Amino acid sequence: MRKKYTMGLLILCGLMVFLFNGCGKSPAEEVKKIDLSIYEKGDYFISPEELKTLLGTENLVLLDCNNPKLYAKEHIKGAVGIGFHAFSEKVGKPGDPGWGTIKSKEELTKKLISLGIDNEKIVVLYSDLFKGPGADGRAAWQLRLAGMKNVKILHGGSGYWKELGYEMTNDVTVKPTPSTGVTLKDYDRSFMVTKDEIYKNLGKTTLIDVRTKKEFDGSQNAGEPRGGHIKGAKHLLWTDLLNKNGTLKTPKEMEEIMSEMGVSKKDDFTLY
Amino acid sequence: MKYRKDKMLKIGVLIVITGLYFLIPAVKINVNQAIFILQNVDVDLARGYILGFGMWAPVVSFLLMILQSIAAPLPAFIITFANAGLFGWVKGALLSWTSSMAGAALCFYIAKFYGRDAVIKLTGKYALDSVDDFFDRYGKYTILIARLLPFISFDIVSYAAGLTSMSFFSFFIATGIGQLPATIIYSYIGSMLTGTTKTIVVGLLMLFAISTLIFLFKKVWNDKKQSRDTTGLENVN
Repeated sequence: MRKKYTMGLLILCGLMVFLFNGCGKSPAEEVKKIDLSIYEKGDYFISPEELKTLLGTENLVLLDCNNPKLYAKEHIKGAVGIGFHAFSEKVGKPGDPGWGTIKSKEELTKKLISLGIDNEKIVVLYSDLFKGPGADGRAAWQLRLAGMKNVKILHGGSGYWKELGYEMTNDVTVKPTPSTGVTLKDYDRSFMVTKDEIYKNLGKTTLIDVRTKKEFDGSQNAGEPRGGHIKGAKHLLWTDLLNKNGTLKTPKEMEEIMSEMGVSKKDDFTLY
Repeated sequence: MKYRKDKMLKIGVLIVITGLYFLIPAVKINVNQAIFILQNVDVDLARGYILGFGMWAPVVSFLLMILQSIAAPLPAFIITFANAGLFGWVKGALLSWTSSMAGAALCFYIAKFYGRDAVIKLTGKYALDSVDDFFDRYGKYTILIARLLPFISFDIVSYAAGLTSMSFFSFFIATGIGQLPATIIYSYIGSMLTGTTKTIVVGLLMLFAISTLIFLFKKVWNDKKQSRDTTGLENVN
């Protein structure tokens, strides 16, 4: 029963990718380079062109945030597969206190060192944005919480990378060499909110649920111990802020989408 | 009459199990969460999940392994790695080994009980045909070889064996022996399996498998010869 569902989902994903790419293998004709500087926080991203020039250099730590099965099938050369929850607390199960929240500073430091991350090298995260939950976004957010400024998300993910005709490989990369150390700041609280704070302010702040519509409506296929959404939350699928090829929509388009949700750049709102 | 009773029993068991799943929320949620955890193919996640159950951790690990045996596409090695990390490699290997044997036994009996059509539903469209005869005759060796080859699905082999007339005992012994090297290697090297070590391990297992295969061929050859000899005798008579 469950298997059928996942198969269906896979087929759907496959179809979607197929539809989005027209007939699959159309080489990117005259791709005009996307200017990331039009975004206020454009430096959170790295363009595929720039990443390509960094591949194989000492100065790069490349992390693949796809499902390990997908990583085994294909990934960008030199990337280390870290899965969906590399920087999260994982003892217990979804719904347990603290499960899925950012690791403690000490634990995170250990993890980063083991991946060869320091405060200097450029850390690039990516995933296939239409074949997973966008775990690269979460990982980048977590590292930014910890004050790391050298972290970037690959613009458009591995889907756009492939669309540009750039190479993927399936050789398993050697293990990363641990770095000599990394300094983290205390987590930036202004960038996050806790369950209790949300509960206290229920009905006063805008909440936006960015999971699938199915989950919003009660599906528990992603391990949720209880189905449904937080009372009063609106729904906006996270990939709706992206173009069909995984690149970001323009700031203007995003502002329009968000104003439909009833928020502007000046407002405080919470996404989950 | 007996056939009707049998059918009723089969349907009854199925109804009870699906009833448990759908009517008791705790069962449904826990099964769904366990499947979610395994689908992530993330050793740390599985380790944390098992660890979260405190003193029940070994029991949960056991049940997790059985769950993955029934549902063919879930990965077993994640649980093996997690066990090694949690309980040390010796105890971990023992736990992984016994629980996967229990899982295999369960698959074997599910196939026996519900027959071919049900198995096809569980394993997807797997070509079960024509192996039966071979399985019947050389079952033990086939199982042993299949168990040694890491890329052959453990669960499908168990189901397929259950569809033949092979005795449970020989299936079980072959499974146990075949599982041993992989479980020990996986537990010992655990999650340190990277590119090069992986190749070595696979190579090692292939070596075991090939030696078994040679053994099997010898047996097939001898059987053929024997049958030739006997038919020869018949002609004389």
